[in-house]
Amino acid sequence: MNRHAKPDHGEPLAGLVLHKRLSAIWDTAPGFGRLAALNHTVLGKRFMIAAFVFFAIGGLLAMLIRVQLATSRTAFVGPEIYNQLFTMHGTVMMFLFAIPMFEGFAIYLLPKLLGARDMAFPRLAAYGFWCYVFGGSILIAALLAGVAPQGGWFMYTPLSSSRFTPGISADVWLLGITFVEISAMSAAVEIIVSILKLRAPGMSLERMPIMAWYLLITAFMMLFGFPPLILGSILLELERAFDLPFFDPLRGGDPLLWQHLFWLFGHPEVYIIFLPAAGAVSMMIPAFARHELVGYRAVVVAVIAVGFLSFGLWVHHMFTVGIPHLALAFFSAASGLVAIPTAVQFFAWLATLAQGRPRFDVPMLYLFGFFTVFILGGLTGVMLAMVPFNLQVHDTHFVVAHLHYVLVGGFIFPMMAATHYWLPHITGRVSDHRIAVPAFWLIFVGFNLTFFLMHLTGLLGMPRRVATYSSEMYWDWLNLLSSIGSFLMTIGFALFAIDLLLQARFGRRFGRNPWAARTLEWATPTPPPSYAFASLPRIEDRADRADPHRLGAELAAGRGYLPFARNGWMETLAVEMSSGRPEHIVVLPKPTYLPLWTGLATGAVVLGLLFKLYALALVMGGVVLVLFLAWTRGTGATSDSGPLPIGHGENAPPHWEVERPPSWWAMVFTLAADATLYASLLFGALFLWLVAPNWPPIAITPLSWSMALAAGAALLIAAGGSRLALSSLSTGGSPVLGTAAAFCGQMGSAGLFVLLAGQVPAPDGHAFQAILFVVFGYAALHAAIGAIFAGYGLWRWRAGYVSPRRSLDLRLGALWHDYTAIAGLVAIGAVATLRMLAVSGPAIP
Amino acid sequence: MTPRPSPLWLVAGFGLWAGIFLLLYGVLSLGCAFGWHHVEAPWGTSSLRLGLLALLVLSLAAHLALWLHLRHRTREAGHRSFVLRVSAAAALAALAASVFTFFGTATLSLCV
Repeated sequence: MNRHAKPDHGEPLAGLVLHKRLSAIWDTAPGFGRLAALNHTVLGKRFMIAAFVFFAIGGLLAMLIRVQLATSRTAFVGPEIYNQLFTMHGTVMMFLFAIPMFEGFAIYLLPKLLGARDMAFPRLAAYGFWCYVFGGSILIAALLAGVAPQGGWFMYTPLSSSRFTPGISADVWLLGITFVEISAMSAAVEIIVSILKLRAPGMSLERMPIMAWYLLITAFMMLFGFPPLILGSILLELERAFDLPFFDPLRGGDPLLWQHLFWLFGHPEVYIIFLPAAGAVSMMIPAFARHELVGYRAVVVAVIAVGFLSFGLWVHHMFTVGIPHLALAFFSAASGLVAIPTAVQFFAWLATLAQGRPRFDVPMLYLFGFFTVFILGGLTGVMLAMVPFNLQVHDTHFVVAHLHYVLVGGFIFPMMAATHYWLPHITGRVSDHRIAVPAFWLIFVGFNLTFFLMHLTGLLGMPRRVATYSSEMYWDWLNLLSSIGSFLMTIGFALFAIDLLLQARFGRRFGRNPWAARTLEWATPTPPPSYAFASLPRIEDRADRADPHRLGAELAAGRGYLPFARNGWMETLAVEMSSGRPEHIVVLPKPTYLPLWTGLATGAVVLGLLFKLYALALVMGGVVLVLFLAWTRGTGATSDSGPLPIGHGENAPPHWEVERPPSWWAMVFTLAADATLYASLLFGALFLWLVAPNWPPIAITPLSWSMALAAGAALLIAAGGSRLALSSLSTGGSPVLGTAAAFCGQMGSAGLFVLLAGQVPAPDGHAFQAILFVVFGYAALHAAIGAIFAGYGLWRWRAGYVSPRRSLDLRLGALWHDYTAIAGLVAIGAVATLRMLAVSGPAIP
Repeated sequence: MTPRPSPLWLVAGFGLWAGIFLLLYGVLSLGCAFGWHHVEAPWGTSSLRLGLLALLVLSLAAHLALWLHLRHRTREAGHRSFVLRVSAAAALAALAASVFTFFGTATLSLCV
């Protein structure tokens, strides 16, 4: 992008000229240039292919488990290896397959569904992909090296503490998974902003395709659900590396804190996995029923309900830990209740089929599999929600059976249906499905043979996570049949994979839209071009009532919005969130290797921490920071352009000249996730004070009030300074004084919070001290980042990127300074409160 | 042109449910730790039970008020607003969810 010249207003193009010019701008370069790809179609496919690879690895691990459990006398692997097998099976499937699979699906499909040319933050998506691949590789490398985590996929303390799991296996999980979670968090922010802002003009909220609602709510669940896990992982890693006793009951910690933090993430996680699959079902059923989805509004209400209810269920994984009956009742009731909005969706699908004229094809086979298997899993879920029953079957194979019925039924079957449904879109080819039908039946029969019998095995008392069992328990036949079933299933999956490869390579080419679906993605050519749409549609009705054939021809002819290839820009449109009125032009970044380098540098940080090379980790952290700053090169502009034509006689400004472009919203949502992590930390502190043994601590750390007040004042100076900068800028003045004040304020408060943390005596002595240390550390880190934001703002002003109309760089900083001020003041208040509570303590009779 | 209602109304009902959940679970935990279930209160109950019930009643009142407000706004908009219709339905569902989730407050043992 030419940053210094006035932008060309663009002349509308049409037909082949438009396609050629857009291709020149949007296509990914061949060869090594592919490593610089940012395009959502490319990245989506990469995510999904990588997820399938990890699925195969997880499946192989499952086979090894079933070989070991086939009989009571099997001596295939010892308990050490077996523990790694089941831990890695769960970890790979949950973190390296399910979530990235849905991310890839969302990244590939969303812009096309919404009538946009790409996602909101292509470089972030690419960075997330590299973090995922590198993080996953660390875990697999550990597996091959025999040092894979072995404490179960949920890594309960104290087993996962350094005392009972010395060595790096637990650190591999903690650091590797946190690395992968960067990918999930970045995807969550990107999906939310893309759905809320990057829609086709006229696509109001009520006109969105139902899948967009599912993905929007799922992404919000990720935004609020992952931070507790990230916090828990950080705290456990701090305990393992530096002996800060958050989970050690002898020093004021509590193993239950880990369980609460983990399951606060862990339960929403399974709905994060289920909901996108349900969204795919909500798109496929109308296509095969030849009738639009019945109960669109009811489904939206149901998905909102599931999103919230799923956050109130987590203790049902902990019914046996001794929590009071009334509290158990809350979670038991909510766990049963969540079946109702799920059922609403099922009835909407059934009603759609009943009102339509269903036709049957391979995806419908998998949807049948989904219906039967998931409903069975849901029923056992309601059984498990009842506390007395749960107490009997907790930690038995009954739970293993249930979780596989809901996860395989609720995610795998819909994803396989979705694969058959959308593979023609990805490849431009169709299959005759000769292998697909026997593949399905092998999977369906094999799955039920494996896992239905496991309900019985569990009810007969077989515990989870045991490498062997006594032949006197009479579990042998059930386990042998389960193992045979698993091999049948594997053959089915192998045939499925072969069918996909054959279709992709040799399938018959076809015209657009083999399913006669009515959603926007079928309006693109197939395979889709890199720019998705040659021009963007105007939406006049609900987006699942489109005529892709007519619309596709119109858009290809350049009769939509943005039929331009001006300035070499990669353009799409942003709309007002609710109404879908076009608001501004979003100019997306060009392909770059920076996400790859940043991902590698981040991986080096993780490896440094893993091998306790902290100097290396610190240096590479600095490299990561420099690389992120390098991302900003080429963004924005050095002159005001004002509104530019977008087609249809309308104009809109470029995103760097508007008040709330996508990056502003990204900052808001990132801070929301950050605040969730912080709230989890503070609630964790209250939990330990209230519940953990060995409170109060022997010595209550004195707080230097003068230092604390000075830190608070510095934060207020920083926040005030950034507001002053914006105010000066808006009246044509210079923002330098205000921004410099922000910089100095943040530097000062960072230093003061570091000193306050340093004054905490022996953070390894008691959880109370450890918490104070971490709270001050959190405030210091945020202030330091705030200083970087302020310095960056000054740099951008000097380079000419900031004007009264182009103030985004300073406004992003202002958001951060405001949050840091609130967080810092809360830190001071929290520490003071915790000191007071530690003295008073609960009077336990 | 009438301004469109904020999309935040969509999460108001279940947001309230989540807040009530946190409040009741938190007060229960505090009360059990501080022994409030041993402190006698009127009507043969404990101060913890009475406090929880009072909070629950207030919470359900808040739910009802929210639903009535959204229902009123939906009618004012002539049932044309998608956001208001969905928000009102979600608020009613959340009210039902709160009744079902928290009804044990009246009867179940508190701190055992």
